[in-house]
Amino acid sequence: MNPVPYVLSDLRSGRGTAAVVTLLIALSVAIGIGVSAQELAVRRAANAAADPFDLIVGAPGSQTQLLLSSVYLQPSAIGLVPGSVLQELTERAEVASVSPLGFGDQYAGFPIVGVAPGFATRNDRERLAAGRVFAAIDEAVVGSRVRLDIGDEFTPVHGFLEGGIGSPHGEFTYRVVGRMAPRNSPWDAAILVAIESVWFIHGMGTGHAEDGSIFDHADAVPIGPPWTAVEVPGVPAIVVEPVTIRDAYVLRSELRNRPTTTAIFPAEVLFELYALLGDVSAILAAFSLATQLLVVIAVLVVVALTQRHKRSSLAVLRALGAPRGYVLLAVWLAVAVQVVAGVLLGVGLGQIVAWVLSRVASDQTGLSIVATVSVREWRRAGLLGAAALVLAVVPAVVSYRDQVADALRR
Amino acid sequence: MTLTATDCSSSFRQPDGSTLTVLDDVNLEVEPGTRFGISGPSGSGKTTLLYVLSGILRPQRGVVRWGADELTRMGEAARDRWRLAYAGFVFQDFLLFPGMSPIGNVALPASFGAADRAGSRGRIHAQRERPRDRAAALLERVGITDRGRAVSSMSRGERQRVAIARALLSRPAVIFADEPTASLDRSSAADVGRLLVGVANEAGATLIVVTHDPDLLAQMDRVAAIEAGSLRDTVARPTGEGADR
Ligand SMILES: Nc1ncnc2c1ncn2[C@@H]1O[C@H](COP(=O)(O)OP(=O)(O)O)[C@@H](O)[C@H]1O
Ligand SMILES: [Mg+2]
Repeated sequence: MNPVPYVLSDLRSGRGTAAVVTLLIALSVAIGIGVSAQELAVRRAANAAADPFDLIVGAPGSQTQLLLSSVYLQPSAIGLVPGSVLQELTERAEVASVSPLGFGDQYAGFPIVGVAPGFATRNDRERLAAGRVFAAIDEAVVGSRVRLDIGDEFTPVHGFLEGGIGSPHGEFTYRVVGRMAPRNSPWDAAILVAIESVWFIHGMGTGHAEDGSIFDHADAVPIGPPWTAVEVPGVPAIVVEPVTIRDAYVLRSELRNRPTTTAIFPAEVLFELYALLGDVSAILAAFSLATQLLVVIAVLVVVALTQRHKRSSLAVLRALGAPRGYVLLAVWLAVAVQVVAGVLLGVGLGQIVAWVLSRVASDQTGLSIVATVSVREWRRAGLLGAAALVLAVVPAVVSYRDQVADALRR
Repeated sequence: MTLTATDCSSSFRQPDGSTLTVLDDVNLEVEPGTRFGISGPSGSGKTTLLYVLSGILRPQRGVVRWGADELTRMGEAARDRWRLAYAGFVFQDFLLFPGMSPIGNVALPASFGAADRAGSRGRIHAQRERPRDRAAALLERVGITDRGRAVSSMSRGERQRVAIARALLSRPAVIFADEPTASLDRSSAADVGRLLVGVANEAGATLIVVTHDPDLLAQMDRVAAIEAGSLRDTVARPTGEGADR
């Protein structure tokens, strides 16, 4: 008993329908895979981007907003941490290094962030791709995706928006002296400058003791900690690298409970964020499940419709002496071929869908989102395929039980 | 193999709930190698009789016997095997498979594969010939020379020739044909009719043909008409008179 020749001819003569069924199955698999692979990839990328930020200190308020504006450079209005906290942290024994984050200006859509010089190299743990770290208040280090070259000069614009609804800051210009290696985070589009320059441009001094008219003597302004001015300006956020993990917890619980500060571990906030987003991801999963269900129904309808046409063909087989088992196997195999082809095609298609989604999401977030089809997705596709193969038994059994004489009359 | 049908009755439940008796105590005996024609008005039960005689349909009452094989006592699987081993079928509308080449269509019954389990009865595999080779030879016999052509591009007459070749694959002892020329124009009907009778003679097979075609009926050894559920012989020629044997 070998129904393969019949199955092949059956698929060939109904190739339009077979193609539709296969594509529908592929689509269903691809949607499921694309969505689930993408979700995983986004989390992985978001976690990776948060990695260099051990402890972030900000003004009391939304922890999520603090996370978004510091780790992911999302523009938002957050309060300022008093400069005295910055001074204090610089001196604490539990702190290995500290850098303020001063947002607010941009150039050509690239946010300018005032930091301590050590921040650009994560305190010499990372090398710059080119050039050197800024050493004066009119020097800048650019992220890997910033369209400025070493030696270029630019004037900062107040405000986050591209094109700048804000006004240019007088004649103050920065000169690019270094470029960072890719960090696969929104920081690749950032311009790092000395925090002192940000304070200075906004008329808040430099944070160091010898204030004065330093515009003509940019070299004269000290860069980086300690900030010795009596009144160090406030900053939106402070990135702290604690000495030990224990120190990290000590600092967090202490700073979290002060009236002027809060402190977060980014990974912890992300975790809470995901839990919050759990609803969204459940909706997404439900949506993709519903789509898959619709596709399955569509496939069943197509199969049921064509089965009526096939009924008389199958009856001819029986009249010619084919046993019932042959008909059963022929019907099941025909569906199985389409299912297996659809699942394989769907996994490939899902890979492409995930890849496209990743590119779009990467471009929009600056994160390095790489969605790959993992064992999890293969297992899902395999399960769907297996379910379809089990379902295919239904038309097979219907054909098996069909009365030949009735069917021959169509 | 002599066909003996005794007191065969077949009825159908109609959509309105009533019962329609199509065959009413039909009795029939057909000697091996006979060319037997069945005629009768549309809806009189000719096709039903053919299905009963070939084991496709089990009559509610009566006995159908081919030689020692009593079809009416066999289960469905055994009747399938019997058809595969002993019977060929030709339909009015050819019922070929458009996705297959002519050779594929003719060789198809060899893929059913249950005939060899019938042991000594197995006919397809009894010969050491490969099914596709035999299919090619049969196509040549029925006058299909261009075997590469798609079935769908063939004329109706050519398609029925392919169907006749398919019916011959298993070297059947009996060939059933249900209005084999009714869908053809007059000249190809005449050709196909002659071919069918010719190949049945060559094979020494019994030929049971339902038809209204006078040319075809004229080539039969016996003709019976079905009317009001019973079969009545109308013509009985001495063997050999109807056509060359
Ligand atoms: N499976 C069936 N169910 C109900 N009625 C049937 C069935 N098969 C045949 N009939 C009826 O039996 C009668 C004889 O049918 P058939 O044998 O096809 O006649 P013929 O071949 O002589 O035209 C018709 O009236 C037909 O409608
Ligand atoms: Mg009929």
